[in-house]
Amino acid sequence: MKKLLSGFLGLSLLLTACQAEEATPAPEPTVDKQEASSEEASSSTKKTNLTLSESKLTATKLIKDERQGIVPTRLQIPAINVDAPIDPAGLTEDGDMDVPADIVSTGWFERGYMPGEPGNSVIAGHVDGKNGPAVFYDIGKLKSGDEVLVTGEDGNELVFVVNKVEIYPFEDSPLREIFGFSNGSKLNLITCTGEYNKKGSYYEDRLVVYTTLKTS
Amino acid sequence: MKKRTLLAVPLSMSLLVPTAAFANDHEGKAAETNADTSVSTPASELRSALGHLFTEHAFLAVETMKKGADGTEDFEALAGELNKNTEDLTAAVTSVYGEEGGAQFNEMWSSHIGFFVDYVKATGAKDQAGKDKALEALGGYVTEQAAFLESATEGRLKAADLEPGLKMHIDQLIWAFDSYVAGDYETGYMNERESIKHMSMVAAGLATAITDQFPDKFENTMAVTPAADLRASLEQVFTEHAGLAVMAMQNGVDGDPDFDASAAALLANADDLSAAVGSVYGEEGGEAFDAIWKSHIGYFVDYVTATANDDQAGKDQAMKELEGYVVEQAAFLESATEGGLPAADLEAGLTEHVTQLIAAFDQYVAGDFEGSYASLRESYAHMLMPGSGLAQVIINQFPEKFSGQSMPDGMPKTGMGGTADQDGMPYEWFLLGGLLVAAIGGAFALRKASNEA
Repeated sequence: MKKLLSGFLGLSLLLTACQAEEATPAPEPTVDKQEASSEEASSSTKKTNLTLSESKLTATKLIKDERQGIVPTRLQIPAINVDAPIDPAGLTEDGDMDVPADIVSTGWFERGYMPGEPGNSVIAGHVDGKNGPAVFYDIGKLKSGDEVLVTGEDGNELVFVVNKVEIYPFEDSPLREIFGFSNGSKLNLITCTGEYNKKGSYYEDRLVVYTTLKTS
Repeated sequence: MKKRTLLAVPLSMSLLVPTAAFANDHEGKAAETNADTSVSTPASELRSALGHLFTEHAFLAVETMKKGADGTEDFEALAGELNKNTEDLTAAVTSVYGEEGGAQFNEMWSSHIGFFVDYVKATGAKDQAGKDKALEALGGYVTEQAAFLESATEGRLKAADLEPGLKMHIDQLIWAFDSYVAGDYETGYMNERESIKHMSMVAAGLATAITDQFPDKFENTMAVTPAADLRASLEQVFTEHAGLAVMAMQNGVDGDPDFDASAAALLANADDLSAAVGSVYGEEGGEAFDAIWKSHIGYFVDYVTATANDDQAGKDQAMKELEGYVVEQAAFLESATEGGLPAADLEAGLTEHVTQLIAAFDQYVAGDFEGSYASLRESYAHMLMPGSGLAQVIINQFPEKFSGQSMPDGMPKTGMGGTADQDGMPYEWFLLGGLLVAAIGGAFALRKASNEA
């Protein structure tokens, strides 16, 4: 039994207050599904015998979120001539995000999101070493629209685009915004800025470059 | 039977730290992060409520559109339940953003349902221009809804991130519907399932934004944690089971051509559930669960067959089988969860599940469509209970799998001060650009100059 489309003339439309008037007359009245099936069911000669088949469904096209994260290994920021390796970074004993071991590589916060998947992925890099500039020395110069390229261990390359650059006090940074979930695929770059606190050996502020996955 | 030995598998795992002990580990800073292993934090509750209504929206919308295309007499009753879902969503939005925000949301959300109806009408009238117009209106809705949410969440949700998600929602519903109308039921049901899953992620995003916006209201808890993720995914699969089961039973008794595809969708849902169980209790546990769970789907099908044949004895037999299933399923879950879910509670819950589905079906067959679809919504909501219940018990059993901190307590120390001596404010000098190539000398000169000025 092929299902036929029916007109909507007989149906009251509860769904919205501002329905347009039916402009086109409905096609010929259709086979009434209820009637057809009850006839079938009441027919004494034909018994229904439903069974479950184990065959799997297939679709000609499946519309779904195809975004997948990558394990990042290389970071390129053409606007400021950065081309650096990315290593996984975890937590310090205090529970803060750990930092890269050296000043030329960057650290991806491995416990958080992967670049490319929905959520905020984070890569941190030093602004300086003990004697001079380090890998993220210039990221504060980035402007909206600048591109950030990340290559995964599988060789896939993702392109992110800078949205904004923000500076926060070290102890008062919006961690959820920087590290939390998001429907968008984000990559946030972190480095230090502000006054250098010599006693504590740390900078007072953090600079965050927010970027979003470029969709072609 | 073989499954008795399988039940022993989880028993070999040691029973672990009670949740209370855990909470103490995370006093202070960590309360801000997502290491919370409770599935019922205020934020997790919000995410669950939104996930329930959003996924149900997608399910009811697709089914209503199909009923519309078929012109069946239960269309109005189902559309009425879709409206009630909108009312519930509006109430949720109102509770956060007030009457005005709720009203605005309601108007916008209802408009998109109206555009879907326009699309269905145009499809019925073979009116391509009408379909195009409806799609254009849906495109306008995407922009409007995204802007509303960005503004309501004060920029926590970005319109640019929301638009692709809203567009995907529309594309999924339209494609599921078009495929159904074209007789490609498999594609239709697979995309319907994707559309339900998609809404679960939308709920995670919105709940994250709301809890970040009103941290006090949600006791600083987070909507996306490993524990909340498990709850959300189990709830999504369990609730979807109820929805798909009702539709497959209808299709069966009506002798609809899409019965096979709808039953296969129901079994695919069962596969997802079994995979989730298997990921926690091992492959054998997953297989044992799969066999029991699918047996109850088979008994429902027996009930439908007997109904179609007007065979009271067959119906009674199916009910007896379902009663046996309830006991078996409860025993399995009690054992797998090491008593975390007591069999008596499980039996009560499973019996309610069976009663609700049978009610929705009997009412449908009797022509009481309003009653039937009210039962459908009840059974959909009821399945949240096994979802959150099982999630919490699994987390209590395997806390180490869910207590990993996926957010740090603080920012990294990304500087050693090697460029700080030349100027107190390195960032300020970034703005001066070109001077930085020869950083040290240049900056020193700059500072000297300004000191002497």
